[in-house]
Amino acid sequence: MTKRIACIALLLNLLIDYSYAQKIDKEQLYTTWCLDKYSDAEEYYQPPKKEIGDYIMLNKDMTYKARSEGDVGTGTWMFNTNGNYIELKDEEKEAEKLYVYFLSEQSLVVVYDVDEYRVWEVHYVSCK
Amino acid sequence: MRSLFCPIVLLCLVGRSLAQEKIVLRAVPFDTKAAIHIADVFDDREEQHLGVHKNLTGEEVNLALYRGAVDAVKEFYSLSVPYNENSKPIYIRIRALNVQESKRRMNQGIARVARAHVELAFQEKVEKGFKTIFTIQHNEDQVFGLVDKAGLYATHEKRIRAALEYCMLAFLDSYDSVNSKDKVTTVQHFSVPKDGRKVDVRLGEWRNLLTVKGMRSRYFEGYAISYTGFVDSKKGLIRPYETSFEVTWARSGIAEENGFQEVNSYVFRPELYFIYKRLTRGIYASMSANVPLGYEILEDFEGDNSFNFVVGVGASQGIRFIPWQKRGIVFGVDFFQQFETSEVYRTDFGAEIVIGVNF
Repeated sequence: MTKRIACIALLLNLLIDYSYAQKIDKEQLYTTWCLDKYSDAEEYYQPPKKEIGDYIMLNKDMTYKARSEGDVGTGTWMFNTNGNYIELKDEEKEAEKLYVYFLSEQSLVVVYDVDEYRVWEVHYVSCK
Repeated sequence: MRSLFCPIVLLCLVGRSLAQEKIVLRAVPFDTKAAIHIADVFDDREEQHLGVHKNLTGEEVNLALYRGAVDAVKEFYSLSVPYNENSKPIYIRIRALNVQESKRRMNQGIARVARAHVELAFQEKVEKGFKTIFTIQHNEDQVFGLVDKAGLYATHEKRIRAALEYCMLAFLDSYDSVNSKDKVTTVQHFSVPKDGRKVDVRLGEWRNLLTVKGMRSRYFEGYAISYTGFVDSKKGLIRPYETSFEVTWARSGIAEENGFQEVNSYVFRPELYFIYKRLTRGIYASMSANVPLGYEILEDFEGDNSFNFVVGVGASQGIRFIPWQKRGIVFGVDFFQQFETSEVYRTDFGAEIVIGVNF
């Protein structure tokens, strides 16, 4: 019994390791990320009109500037390596969590930790 | 490859009947520019484990950190804030460290939620003992699908690491802003909001109700079976999840008045708005707006059946008594009003008696 559970645990561990295999290089986050598209398990979707031109600018001094549905906001941010997420805090100190699924120089894929958006992967591309 | 040699969970039995499962924190360092190191860790918790949980085989186990919280936390931090000749010694007191699991309503369904809760005090050594220079409470919460119990259980370890990292980064942010000579470093991301918001120490407990309703209105009578799930909360409004199925028939005389021998209807009732409000321990007020959706079977005097699609809007107000918290009997009463596309009526109102169990 003990062996079986240990095996299951090991298998799970491997699966999780695999799914979180990418070690995020925080340096790669320091840029302006333009909203590109959404996706779910099946296909990609273009953002709605009012979200066209939305972006998140993650500065090296750990401040950010973001445009969301046309409204520009600022605040501070941090990256949690062990939790694989970015936390944005706006000027009212309201926090928002973005789980990072993929990061490269050109591309950032996140999932917002908000019920309404939990099913969507949000794809950003470097604005440069 | 490392993970091959480092299974998250090792099982070992302790003296009493509850088995213990050990969680090994993976060695994942995080970036800091800290000039400190952790000289020692003290565990001030009354219960020095992470909580009692049902594992994936359904067995209740005591979760604990491998080699104990003191060593596990110390080792974990030593990767990111290592000792060097100039680093200042900092002492940590673990005031809380546990993992929790519950459920909650999410959109139109139910989700699982997991939490790692941590409270740490960071201290410096002074002449007579220790001086606390920073304290933090932090929750690392994550939402999972209702069926993803395995995913939730296997990631308790990751949330503990994330919570520990968060606490250290918050401490360093505050420590650097006080001690840094070149006042440029931090942006105070972690400073506590001024509105006195408190960190929730426990995830609300999920309650299940399975009830039968006996109902009687101006035109109809019948019964319904409902499942209700909600997270109990002393303050504010509770938003339960409910799904129910009703079988009703026209009261004697009503069908005949409308030119039928018999009218039966079968209705689901998805809610538009549904709340509970805890009045006192074990007593809840309820209120809902819903959409009755189903069909009627109308039998005329010749014995021919016809179908009628039923849709409408309904409202209800009621009260629930749940005297036993964990398991027991539930009872209550509801008053309801509705407008429907029934062949028998357009507006109807009535009352229902509710009886069932909670678990």
